[in-house]
Amino acid sequence: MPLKLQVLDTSHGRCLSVGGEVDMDSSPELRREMLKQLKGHSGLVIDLSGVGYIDSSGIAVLIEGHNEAHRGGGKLTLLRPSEAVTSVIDLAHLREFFSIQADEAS
Amino acid sequence: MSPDPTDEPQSSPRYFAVTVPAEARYLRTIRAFFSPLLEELLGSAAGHLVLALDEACSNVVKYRAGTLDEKLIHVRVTLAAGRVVFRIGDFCHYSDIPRIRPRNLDEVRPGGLGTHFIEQIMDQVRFEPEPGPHGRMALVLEKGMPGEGAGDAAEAPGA
Repeated sequence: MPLKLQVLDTSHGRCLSVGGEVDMDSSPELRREMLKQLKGHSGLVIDLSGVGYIDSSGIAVLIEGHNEAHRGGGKLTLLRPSEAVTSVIDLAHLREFFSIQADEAS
Repeated sequence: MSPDPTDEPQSSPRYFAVTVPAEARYLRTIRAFFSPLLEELLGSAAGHLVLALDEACSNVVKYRAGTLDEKLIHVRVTLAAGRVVFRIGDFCHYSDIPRIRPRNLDEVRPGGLGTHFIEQIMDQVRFEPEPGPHGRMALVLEKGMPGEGAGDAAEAPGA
């Protein structure tokens, strides 16, 4: 499935909703949009519930986003990561590194 | 793409081969071809095998595409004796092998995770010489299939 990106303004702040597959081909697009949304904002929520596949290049983008948000005094939150995403985050031993939110309300 | 015979008895080795241009946009094609096949055999465990294969092919696109004669990725999959074997042709030159290693996971930074994923997922990771005098090496990844007695054949990764 091709990458799908959607920017939403929610009560929790700016949210970048990601769907489809994040791989070496599509991760540059995710990176561009994520860095754009981080500019001038104290934080960003990335909704990963619709991601069916993610590889190391996608995880690298999330690490960069986390670091970039922290540099600006903000926070990057991964919202409802799909099983495909959490299993790769676990492979990378990054469960504690990322701020992960299981549902929108918490 | 050329799926090889699939109508032999389950105990016979089965071979599948895919050749695509060494470009990032065709990685999806490789995944789409092998995912259903591996899911049929391994269920939910197939996801990690597809990831390992994808990471290996991504490395060909990232590091080798400019030097490949044919600008193609050749992937061959063998299902035999309780094992899945991926062979990625012309993966690197033998002199590149010492530089191919997973990074230290304590350094949390973008990049370098793909080789770690491959080694963590697969039972065996090795290089085999390609035919000819050019010093080119194929990457071979092996994984035992659960419930088929393959676990005892698992060895430590040795790239």
